[in-house]
Amino acid sequence: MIEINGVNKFFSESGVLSLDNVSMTIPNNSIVGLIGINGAGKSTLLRILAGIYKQDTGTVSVDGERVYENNNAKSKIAYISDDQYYNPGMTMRKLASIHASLREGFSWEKFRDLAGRFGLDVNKRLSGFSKGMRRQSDIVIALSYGAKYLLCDETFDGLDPITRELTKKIFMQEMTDNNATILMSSHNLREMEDICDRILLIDKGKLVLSADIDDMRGMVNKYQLVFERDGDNIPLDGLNVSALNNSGKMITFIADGDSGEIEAQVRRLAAEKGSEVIYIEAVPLSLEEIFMYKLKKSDIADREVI
Amino acid sequence: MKELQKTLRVTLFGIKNSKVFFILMLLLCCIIVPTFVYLGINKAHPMLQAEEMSGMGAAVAYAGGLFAPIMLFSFLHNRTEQDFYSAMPVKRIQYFIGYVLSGFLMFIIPYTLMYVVCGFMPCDGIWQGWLMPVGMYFVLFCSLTLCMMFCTSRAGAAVTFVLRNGLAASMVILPFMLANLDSRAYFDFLSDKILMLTPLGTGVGLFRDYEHILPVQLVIALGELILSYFLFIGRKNEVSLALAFPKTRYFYQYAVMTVAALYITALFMSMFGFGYDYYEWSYIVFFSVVCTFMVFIVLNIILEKNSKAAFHKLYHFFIFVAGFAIITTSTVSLLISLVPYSILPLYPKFAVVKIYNVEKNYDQEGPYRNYINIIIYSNENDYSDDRMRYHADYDKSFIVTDAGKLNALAKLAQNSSRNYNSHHSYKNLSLLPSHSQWQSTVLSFDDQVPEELKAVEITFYNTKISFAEDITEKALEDLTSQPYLSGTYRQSTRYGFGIGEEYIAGFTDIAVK
Repeated sequence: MIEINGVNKFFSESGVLSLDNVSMTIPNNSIVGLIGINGAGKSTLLRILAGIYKQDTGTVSVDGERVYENNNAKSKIAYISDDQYYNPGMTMRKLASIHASLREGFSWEKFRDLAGRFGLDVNKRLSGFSKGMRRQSDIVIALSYGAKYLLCDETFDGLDPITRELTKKIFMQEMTDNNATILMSSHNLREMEDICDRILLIDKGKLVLSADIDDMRGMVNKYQLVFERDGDNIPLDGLNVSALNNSGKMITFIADGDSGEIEAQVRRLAAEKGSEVIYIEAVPLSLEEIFMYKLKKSDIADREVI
Repeated sequence: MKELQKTLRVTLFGIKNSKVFFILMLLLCCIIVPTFVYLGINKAHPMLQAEEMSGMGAAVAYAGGLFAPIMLFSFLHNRTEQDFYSAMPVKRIQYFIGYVLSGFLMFIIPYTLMYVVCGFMPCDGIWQGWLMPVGMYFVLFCSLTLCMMFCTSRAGAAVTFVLRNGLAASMVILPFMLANLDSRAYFDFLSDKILMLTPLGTGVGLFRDYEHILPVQLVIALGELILSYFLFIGRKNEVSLALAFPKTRYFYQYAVMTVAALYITALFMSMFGFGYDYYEWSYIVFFSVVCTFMVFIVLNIILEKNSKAAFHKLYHFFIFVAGFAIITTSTVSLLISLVPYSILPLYPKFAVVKIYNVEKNYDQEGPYRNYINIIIYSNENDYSDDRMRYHADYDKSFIVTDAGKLNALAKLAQNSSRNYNSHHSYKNLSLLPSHSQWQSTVLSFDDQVPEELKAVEITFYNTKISFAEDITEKALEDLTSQPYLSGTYRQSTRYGFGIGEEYIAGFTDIAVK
C-alpha cells in the first residue's frame, strides 16, 4: 500500500508550491488514475513516490517503509517517466542491461516476452525508435522488474490505439497475475475511465477528489427540468447547483449527489412555489465532464468549462 | 554485505558506463606511452628517460583527472538521466562511492599497467614514477568532482574549476601587474607559491621538483572529496539553474565574475603593454569596466542558462562593478605602496654582487657593455643556490646578509627598474625565476649610458655597501680593461635554464671580501 501524508513540495527556484498538504492512500492491487491540468503537481507527486524528489514535509511510504533513499522500498517501484532517458547509440537491450545491473530481479525472459508482444526489436538503436516505440520500450523494461508498484507518467502519450489497448491489457494482466498496483497520470480521461479503479484529481497541488470510478458515475449529474410556469423564481440554493441555465420554463443545472433525492427536492421546491415539474431528466456526466466540473468548483478556472 | 555488493556493482557499472574513457586510458597507457618510451630510451642518459616518463605520467594524469569526473558525473547535469538514476534502488552514497571508485580504478589500472610495461621507470622510482602521477590524478579528480557536484551544467562546472584554480591567483595577478613589476614576476610568483596549491599546479609541480607540495594538495583534495560527498547527498534533483544549491548562487556569481574580470583585465592590459613598468590609471579603469561588463554578460549566460539573464538585472552589474572597483582599487593602492618588499616574502636574506662583461647579443653593431649585476636572493633559494654553485663557481663568501645593506641593494634594484627608458641600458628588476625568488639589477655603463643610469651607478657606489672591502674604482678598471669576452648573454633564462657555457665563461666575479 502506498501512503502519503501531508506532503508538501515547494520549488524555491520558481516559487511554486507544487504539492500542498497532499494525503492519500493507494490500496494494493488496483489501478489508480492521477489526473489534473498541466502544472497541477502530478509529475511531482510521482517523482516523490519514485524517490527522485524529496518532499519538504510529510511522509511517503510504500508498505510501511519510507521511499526516499530506501533501496528496499524503491526496489518495489518501477517508474516510467514522461521524458524517457536514453542514449542515442543505445539499443533497447543495452538500456535493459543498465536497469538489470542496478536492480535485482530483472527478468530477461519477461523482457523478451513483452518486447515480442509489442513487436520491438531489442537490438535496434533507440534513436531509430519512434517516440511511441521508445515509450513501449520503457513499459517493457519497467514491467520486466516484476515491481509491485508501477508509476506511469503520461504513459499512453504517443501510443497508437492498438498499442494502447495492448498496454492496458498488459497492465491488467500484471495486476491480476502479479498483484501489481499501478498509479498512472494522464490527460486522457476517457482512457482512465476504461482502465482505472480509482481516480485522484489534483489541482494546484491539492488533492481535490479521490473516488472510485464506479462511485463517481452518477455522482454528478446534469439535470434538465421543465416547469409548468417560468422557472426564474424557483430557488435552487439548497441543491449546491452550478452551471445554472434558465430559459423560460426550462432549467438546466449540474449538481452533486443522489439523482433521486435531487429530483424529489426540486419537485418539492417547485411545489412550494406553486409550480410543478412536468419533466425532469438526470444525465450522468462523463469522467471528463466531472473533471472539469470539479476543477471549476475548486476555483481553478474562471473560464466556462461546462 | 548486500549493500556493499551493490556499491561494487555501481563501481563496475560506472566503469562500463565510461568504457570509452577507460579504453582510451588503456590505449594510452599500455600502447602509446610505452611505444614512445621504448623508442626514446637513452641509455647514456637514463635520467632523460625518467624525466620523459614523468612528463608522460603527468600528461596522462592530467587528461584522466580532468575527463573522468566529467564522464562519471555528467548524469547530474541531465534532468532525464538524473531522474533515471534516482529512481533506481541505489542510495546516493552508493552512487558516490561507487563512481569515485570507478574513477580511481579507471586511472590506476591502466597507469599501473603502464608502469609495469615500461619497466617500472627505473630511474624515477615508485615515488615520482607512480605515486606522484596517481596523486596528481587524485587531486584533479577530486577538484573537478566538487565542481560537477556544485553545478548543474558542464559549462558551469568548467567555470567553477577555473574559479577554484584561479581565485587566489587572480587576486595577485592584477596588483602585481600594476605594481610596476616585471611581467615575469607574477607568473613566477604564482607558479612558485599559489599555483602550486591549485589542482592545475600539480603538473607544473611535477616538472619543477615541487613534490613536497603534493601531500598538501592531497589533503586539500581529500577535503574536496568529502565536501563533494555532502553536496552529492544534499543535491536537489529538481533544480535547473546553474547551481544545484540556488541559495549560494549570487555569492558564487560575484566570486566567479571577480576572478574572471581580474584575469581578463590583466590579459587585456598585458596585450596593450600596460602593467609592464608603467601604468595609466585611466586605462586601468577603462579596461576594468569593459572587461567586467563582458564577463558579466558571458557568465550570466553560462550560469543562468539564459541569454537574456544579464539584461534582466543590470543593477547586479552596477553593484558588481562598484564592488570590483572598490576592492581592486583599494587592494592595488595598498599593494603598490608596499611593493615590492613588504607584501610578499620577497625580502631577501642575502645578496650577491657581481660585475661582469658580456657581449650584447641582439644588436651586433651596438657597443659592448660591462654590467654590474646585483642578485638578491630570498630566503627560499636552495635550488637556485645549487644552480649558481654549479654554473658559476658560486662562492658563499659573496653573500651579503646584513639587513641594512640588503635594503640598500633592494632599493637600488628597484630604482634601476624604474629608470627603464632606453633600449641601450640593461636594467631590470626581475623576480622569481624558477624556484628562487630573486631580484637583480643589471647596470650598464657603456658609451651610450644615459645620465640617469650614471646616477644609478653613482648611487651604487655611494650606497656604501660596505663589504669587507668596497668595490673600488681600481677593481672596476681592472675588469673593464680586459678584452671583451665572447660570451653571449642569453635572455632565455625565464625559468633559470638556458644559461650556456659561453655566458658562464663570461662571468667575472669580483671577489668582494
